[in-house]
Amino acid sequence: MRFVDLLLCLGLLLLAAFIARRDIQDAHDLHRQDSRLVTAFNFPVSPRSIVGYDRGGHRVAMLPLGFKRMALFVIHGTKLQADIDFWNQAAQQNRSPDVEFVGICDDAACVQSMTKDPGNAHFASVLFGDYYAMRTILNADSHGQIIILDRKTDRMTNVEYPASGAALSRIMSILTEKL
Amino acid sequence: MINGQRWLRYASILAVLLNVVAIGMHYYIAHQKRTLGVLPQGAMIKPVTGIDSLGNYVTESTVSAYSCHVVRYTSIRCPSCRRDEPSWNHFDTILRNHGCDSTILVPAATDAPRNVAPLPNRRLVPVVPAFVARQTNLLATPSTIVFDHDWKVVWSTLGMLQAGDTERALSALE
Repeated sequence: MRFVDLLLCLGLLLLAAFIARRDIQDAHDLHRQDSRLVTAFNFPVSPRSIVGYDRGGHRVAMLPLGFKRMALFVIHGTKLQADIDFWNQAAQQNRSPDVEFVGICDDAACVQSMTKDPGNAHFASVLFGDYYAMRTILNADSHGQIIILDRKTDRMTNVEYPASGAALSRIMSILTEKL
Repeated sequence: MINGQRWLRYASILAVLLNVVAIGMHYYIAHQKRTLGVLPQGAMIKPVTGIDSLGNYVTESTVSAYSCHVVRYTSIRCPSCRRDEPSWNHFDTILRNHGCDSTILVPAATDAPRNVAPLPNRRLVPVVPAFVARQTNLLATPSTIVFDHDWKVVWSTLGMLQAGDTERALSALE
């Protein structure tokens, strides 16, 4: 009887070891798949199709043409007017005809407000855009960054979200560098 | 002899506990794998809005009339999506007959399938507001998510639809 008990106990221990070994393999697979998925589907892409307004308040279906570089940033619905004022100030400081500022609405309140009064912003705005490109810009924003898009090469560079006038001047110099 | 029996009892209890933990881990990993890259069951989002392929605004009130919602993330550039089309068409038809509406999202407007005839309860939405992209957070095509009336995820899958998925989605809606 004791021999049978011993065998049963041993069997259970072996079964636990077997399942645990498979669990470890599965956990490694899961981790690998997860990181592959995130890496493969997280390369930056700029929006091609949009619904928004240019700086003059005219409706546009693509990013404004005729600019060599653009600053793509999120207009936060939670501090809508403050963000609009800040970026209006940036647009006013901009002396280069080759640079444009493009704000992307991040919530329904911003979309509604911009639709109602597009002239409130003195920069281009995006209310709707390509799913994947929207994720790219939101992803940068979640890291406290904005994107500088070079229209000629389509290269996107992430820079820190300007929190002050000095930071904004730095961004202006990046935007106008070697144009 | 008594010590031996006690030892055996402790070893047996330990073995049972180890099995419970290992089996629990197995189910946890299986669940994580099932929801990898797609919204997990029970997650709640705001309605998926945007502008459809006909240029109409898809608003919260457009979609609130339906008892359940299906969101499909697909692309013409994705071979698995093309192979999955017959299964998706079947899935979509059955769920719409059940009272759901379906929304097709694409990574970029140029990825939109050309053969989708828009219906009142089926729309292709090439452009979305940023908060839709943030909430749904879809990583890869094809992905399929079924929501109840209040936009709570009841069923989701990443990759091609499998045999029995339609039934599983329907039973999740019950």
